[in-house]
Amino acid sequence: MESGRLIEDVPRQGADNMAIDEMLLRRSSMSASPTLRFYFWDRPTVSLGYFQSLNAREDHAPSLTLPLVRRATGGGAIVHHQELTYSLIIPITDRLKNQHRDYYFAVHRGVIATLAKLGIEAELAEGTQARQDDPFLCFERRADGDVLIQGHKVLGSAQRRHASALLQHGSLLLQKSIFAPSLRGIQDLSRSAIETETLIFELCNGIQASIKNAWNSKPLVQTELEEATEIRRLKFGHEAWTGKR
Amino acid sequence: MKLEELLYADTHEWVLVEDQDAAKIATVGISKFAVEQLTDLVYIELPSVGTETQSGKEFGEVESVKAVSPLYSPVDGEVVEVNESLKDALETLNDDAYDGGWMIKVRLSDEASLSKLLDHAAYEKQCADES
Repeated sequence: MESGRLIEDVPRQGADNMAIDEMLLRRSSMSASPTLRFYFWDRPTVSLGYFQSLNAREDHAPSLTLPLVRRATGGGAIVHHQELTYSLIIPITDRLKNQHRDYYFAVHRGVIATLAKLGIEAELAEGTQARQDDPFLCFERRADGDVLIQGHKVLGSAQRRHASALLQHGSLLLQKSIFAPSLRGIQDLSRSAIETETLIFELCNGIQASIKNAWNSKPLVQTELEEATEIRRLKFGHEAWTGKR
Repeated sequence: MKLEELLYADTHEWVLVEDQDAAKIATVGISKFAVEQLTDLVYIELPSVGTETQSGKEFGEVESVKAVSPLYSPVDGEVVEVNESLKDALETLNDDAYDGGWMIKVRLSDEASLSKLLDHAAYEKQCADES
């Protein structure tokens, strides 16, 4: 695999963040190499898993006032506050291969190695099973490969697979949020302060080692942002998408 | 259903073509190999009756282990029937991908797309190569 593209992005609105990932996914058919993007959200936001019902958010009172966007990836809802989001876009040849699940494990092992380097002990969840009646929040669910610290889930990922590329979203909980008070982040659990820049630098190294790819920083360019703006207008910023179910 | 009588897309959908009232009706589902690869299906979305399908274009989606994957139509035509019971009984796909696990029936508008599909032997070879 060629060396990948690393994007350390600025904080943006939810629909923009989702539109940029979709743009990168659509453009990935023109590239043989993966893209890894780290980003924050410019205001606390809920992202809903693709198949979740919009009404399901009524069950989670602490985040009810937050803006909401529906992701293209599966899994449960995320409260994007005091967390770091990543997206990984990788060219594939057959969307149904169950080996694609290995990307969950690869990235998550990289994160575990990173946390270990920072003196924080974490492990992968095992022996779980997906269900339709899972809790609303991703971090209250358990799936094989989730990253746990002292039994608390701090990293979960989900995918959208197309014919020629795969998008993997993941969220790393940094600190407890008032909008998701039942959850704890790595800083709460480790009782250590970690600089975000240090964390991203180490995560790149950890993920690079586990998926065997080197990353070169290449920020988004204007034509990509314009394409993403159009995707936001037609899809992620549109109520027909948000209220899809 | 005899697997040898079906046609298959390289994207793992199967097709049974039958004559019905002077029209050709294609029943479409996904292969047992696909179901096994997906594992733990939790959601499915299928089109409404009346939707136009186009060969190689998405007609639905499934979610398994937090991964959303599109379902690609192997044929051109109009959806005339949808297996609505699948949504609440996805285990049917594990037990019976070819009979109870059918997804949509399509009245073909053009049979040209059928020539691009694989027969059972060719599809089995593709699955063996991918395993």
